[in-house]
Amino acid sequence: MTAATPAAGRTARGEPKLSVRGLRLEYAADGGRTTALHDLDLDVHEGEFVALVGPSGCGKSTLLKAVSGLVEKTAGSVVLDGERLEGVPEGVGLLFQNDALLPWRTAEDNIRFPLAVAGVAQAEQRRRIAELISAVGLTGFGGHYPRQLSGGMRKRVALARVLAADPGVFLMDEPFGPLDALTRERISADFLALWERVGKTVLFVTHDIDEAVTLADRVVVMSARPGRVIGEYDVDIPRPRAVEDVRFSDAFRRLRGRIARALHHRAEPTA
Amino acid sequence: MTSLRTPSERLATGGRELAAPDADMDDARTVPPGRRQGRGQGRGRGRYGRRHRVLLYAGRVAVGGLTLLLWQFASGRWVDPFFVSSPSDVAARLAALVRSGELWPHLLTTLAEFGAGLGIGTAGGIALGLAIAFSGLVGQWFHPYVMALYSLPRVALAPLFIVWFGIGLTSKVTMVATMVIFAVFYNVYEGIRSIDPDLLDMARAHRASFLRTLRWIVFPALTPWLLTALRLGVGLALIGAVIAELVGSSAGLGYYIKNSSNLLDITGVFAGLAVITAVAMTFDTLVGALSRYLLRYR
Ligand SMILES: Nc1ncnc2c1ncn2[C@@H]1O[C@H](COP(=O)(O)OP(=O)(O)OP(=O)(O)O)[C@@H](O)[C@H]1O
Ligand SMILES: [Mg+2]
Repeated sequence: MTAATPAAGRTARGEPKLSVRGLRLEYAADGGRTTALHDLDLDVHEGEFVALVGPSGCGKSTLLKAVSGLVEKTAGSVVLDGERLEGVPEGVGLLFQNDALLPWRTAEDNIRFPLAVAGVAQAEQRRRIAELISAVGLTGFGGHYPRQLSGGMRKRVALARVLAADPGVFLMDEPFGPLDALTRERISADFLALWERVGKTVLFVTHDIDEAVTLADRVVVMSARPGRVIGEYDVDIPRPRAVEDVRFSDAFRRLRGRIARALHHRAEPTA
Repeated sequence: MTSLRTPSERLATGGRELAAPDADMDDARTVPPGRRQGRGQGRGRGRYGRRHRVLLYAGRVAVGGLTLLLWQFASGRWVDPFFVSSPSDVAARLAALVRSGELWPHLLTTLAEFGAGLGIGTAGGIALGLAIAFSGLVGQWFHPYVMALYSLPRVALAPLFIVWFGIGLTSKVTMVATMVIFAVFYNVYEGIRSIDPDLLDMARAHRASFLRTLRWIVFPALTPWLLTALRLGVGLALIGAVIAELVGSSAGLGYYIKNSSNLLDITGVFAGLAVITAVAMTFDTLVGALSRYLLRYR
């Protein structure tokens, strides 16, 4: 799968893999309504890694949930592979902001869930689970319950579960958010290596600009609530990237500064 | 049943808040349902050393033993034994009941009422809880009426059931099931409402069927609540069976107690109470063991 590098995805721009148009989302909140997203447009291309940054409460999780069909859209459309989505789509995998692991199931059985839903045969399930466990670096912990795992390991289980569903688009909601810096760097590096190998389309929410620039091909900045896209920045750092090193390059620091200014002042025009 | 509600729909329905029932959680065997999800909290057993356990059980035995001794001593000295009998008399009566075989029909009758009623009540409570929790608006139409029945002192229904179903098994089983069903319903309903919405969303995002969601998420999440309900249910079921027997019956432990009391045979009353207590403690211990087994993932 070496051919499916993100560069290949980016040069072959045609129809976007995922296209959000005029998305508006209101929550009913006791008596009144909260507008979480207002007229949001966003395109993600096949094989592209897009990071989404924005202030807390600006509707990042809401956007991912709307794309996964978990919350009702008030207006606008989400198009995946040229088809307008209604309800919960196939081929979209969501990694929840908290890991949403089943506490009463072992790591293996948590990873099994999408396979069981898809009706995969037992022997094949076992084979795939073993493969995924080693892919996310959890060898030897398959039989552990979530409470017996560290925060970082639980994220790896949640990641393996999304990988098990084998979606065409990964929606990741601050997947490494609550982890300490070191664990986070290690998981990011592992995830990046994994992704650079399979080259799936990723929409990655984070509040950490460094993480966004380190991982993504493009960084999308959202305004405070009601959330809209207020800036997009291409990240021209060559791949494969070494997570520990990229942040010391000049390109990284310049881009990081521009995104930070956009986030804080909302003044910088779109790149 | 419609599909599972999302958090936002859940907000919109705005169900009323109710405090969890006071289950008699007197020791570390059970935990309040829905809590203790976090890691690294004490896990009851194993936290204390051997010495602590020896002290715990020795103390318990001492409290029980001293109470019996005090009763034995007081009987005939401070209080007329006609009214309070004595532990030795009660023990002798129990031995006689076992030897003559008179105990078994009474015990079996009560156990049959208890078992059948508990089974029916539990199954009914689970079905009612799932139906009301997952049927959206329709469920909300029924909810206040079910809660009204829940707060009714249901022992007051015993005479009615005797009139309707006679003094045989049916009226007793109905009484027991009526006692149990609401406790189970309440725990199931509150248990479903307290399921982490992200877990239900996770299942929806994977396009899991309703049955799979029940199997993988709803029932496991309900397990601690059901165990609490079962523990309450054991007590309530015994109350229901005995009350119904007191009101009208021809066999059972309640019948034996009532009969003894009509004959002013206080030793017989206490012997009946002792057997009921033994039954309650046995089932309570069984539910405790079941809890530890089913909740070992904590
Ligand atoms: N179920 C809900 N019902 C009502 N309002 C909601 C609901 N979920 C989110 N909101 C509101 O919508 C807004 C956006 O929430 P969202 O969780 O999408 O933000 P976020 O960008 O993911 O924030 P964070 O970075 O803190 O995770 C917030 O103001 C929040 O209060
Ligand atoms: Mg969020």
